[in-house]
Amino acid sequence: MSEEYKRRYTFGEDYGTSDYKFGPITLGERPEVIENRGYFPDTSSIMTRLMGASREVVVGRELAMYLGSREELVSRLVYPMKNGVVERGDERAWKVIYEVTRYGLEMFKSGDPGFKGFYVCAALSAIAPRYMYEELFELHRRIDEETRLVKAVTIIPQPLAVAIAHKVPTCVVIESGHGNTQVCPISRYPIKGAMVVLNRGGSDADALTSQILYDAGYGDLAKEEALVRRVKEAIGLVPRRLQEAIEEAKRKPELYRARFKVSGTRLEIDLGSESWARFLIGEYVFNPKHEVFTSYFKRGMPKPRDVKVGDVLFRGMLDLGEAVVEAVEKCPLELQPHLYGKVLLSGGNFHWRAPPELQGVAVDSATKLKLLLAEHGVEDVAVEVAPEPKFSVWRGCIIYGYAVPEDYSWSWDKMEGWLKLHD
Amino acid sequence: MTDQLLEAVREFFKQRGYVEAPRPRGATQAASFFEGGGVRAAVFTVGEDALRGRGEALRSILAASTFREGVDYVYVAVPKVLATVIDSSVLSEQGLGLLVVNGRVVEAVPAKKRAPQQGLAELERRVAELEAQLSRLAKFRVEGLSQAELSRLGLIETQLAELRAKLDSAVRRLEASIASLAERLTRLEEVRERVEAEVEAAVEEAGRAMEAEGLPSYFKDNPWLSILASRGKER
Repeated sequence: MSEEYKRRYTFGEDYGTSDYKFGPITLGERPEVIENRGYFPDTSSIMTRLMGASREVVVGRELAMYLGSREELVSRLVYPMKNGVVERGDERAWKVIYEVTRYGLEMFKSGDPGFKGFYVCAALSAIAPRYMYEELFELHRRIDEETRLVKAVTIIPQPLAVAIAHKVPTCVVIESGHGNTQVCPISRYPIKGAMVVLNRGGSDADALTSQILYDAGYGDLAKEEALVRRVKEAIGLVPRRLQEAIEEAKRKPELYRARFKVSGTRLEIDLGSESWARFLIGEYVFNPKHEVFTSYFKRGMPKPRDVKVGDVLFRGMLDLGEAVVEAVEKCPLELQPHLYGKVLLSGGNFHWRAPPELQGVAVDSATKLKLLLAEHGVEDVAVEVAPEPKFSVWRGCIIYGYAVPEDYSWSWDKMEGWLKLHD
Repeated sequence: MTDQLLEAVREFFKQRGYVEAPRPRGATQAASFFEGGGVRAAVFTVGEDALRGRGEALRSILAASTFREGVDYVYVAVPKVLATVIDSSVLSEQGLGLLVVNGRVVEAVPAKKRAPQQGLAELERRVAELEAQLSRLAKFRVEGLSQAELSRLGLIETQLAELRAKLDSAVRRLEASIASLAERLTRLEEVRERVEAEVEAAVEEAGRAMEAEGLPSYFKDNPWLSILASRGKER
């Protein structure tokens, strides 16, 4: 197959914890995005029969039309990558991944007679165990047998894709998604042995936001995940120094007042005098060790714990600065200055606003990490928040799929190359 | 490449009313000859191929520089890519014209008309002839020569001395020219290597630009493209 073919039919797939970003190279700068979830409708219900749905699982944009009551969501709505890792025997999760993948590929099915299937490059969390690779390969093989849409498939870790998209061969990538945060040093290859994984991500900030809403009298809304996430994104702030920010917000309550109007509804959330709590949301992402969080843990908010999944130890309470230092210091001394030369923050969990009127008190993610690193004695680190971080992984997949020679076959030792599905 | 060069040169002279003339006996194969309006011109072509051998370009230019036999103008014809590394003032000093060929021919440096002069071979022939005459006369000298014969002998000796002086001067000029050309050629070689490296880099850059053309912005100047393209070939 020619390079010309890859220019048209390289396909990227980013299995994020929250969203699935997908699409061919021809989409250019931005992929298609759907939520990485599937809904298992009650096939016996009258509504389902009336809507003519016979599918076991519904994915994609039409999913919202099938949703049942809030109680049902818990058992019927499945986010398969919620923690970055899918259990081998979790059939419902794998079923959703299969449907989501097929949905994406079929959306871009080509009528061109020269089309022989996509070169698919998929990205998984850096902590994904080998069986997830095997399952994902198998799933693509099945889709190809049914549709002939996949010519070859490869899988790469998400931090590598981020480094590729940002044109940096040597760096530390911090990919923070919904379920976890991966701190991964990269020097042309991911240095897996030096990777540090944190057992917290956007979902933990969601949990804290939910608790803050509960405390502010919005207990009924605090259970709706999607709404809580939107509130978090709208009102959450990262403080330069938490204690000073809280004091400042209490001194000037109007300036820091957190209000959120839910579009399309009559509902407005107003934290009023509790608006200082918006700083807790951002701080929690970077440093959950602050004593202010103790009361939340005592009231039942789950505390991020150290857990071991397979061979990977997920650290709970490490602050992000410590995590970077620990990862870099596992690398050869000679490489360390180069790694500090560029730290890339990627993933939706670093997308925090620092409004100009709150300058000096609220900061962006890069500034916050620099402050944390300075506390650990590491100065002059170049930290950069990936522009459009939600799409970095997909872009990296597109470049990887385009550039890696098609005759380079998949190697389980190196965990790279192409698995050819048909000629 | 040289054939195309030659063809363009032929067309150039044809348009100026010249016809291709037969190569004089003993003249180098590297030259072509043209005549028209009672004027003869010799053209030494130096193609890009000449750059492959270190001495090739020098040989052609030296041959053009020393060529005297029965022509009024001597030109060196080169392709445009080579013209950029040739110092035309050197050719001008030697009276050589420079034709730059890039599809069509441009007379970058006009050739200076050669003053009718005897070539080195002719000078050598005449010196040898006069030395033979002198030798013959020397035999008579010992047997006693008439006054007229002695003055003729003196004249021949004077002519011979003049010719030898001319010959020595021509050889000195030639040696100086060779030394200067050799030095220029060394510089030319250095320039060529530099230009080749620059051209190579430019071609590589153009290749990358072409590669990234029509692709999304995150492909542009992305070092990973070459890193990933070599995957599987690194063992």
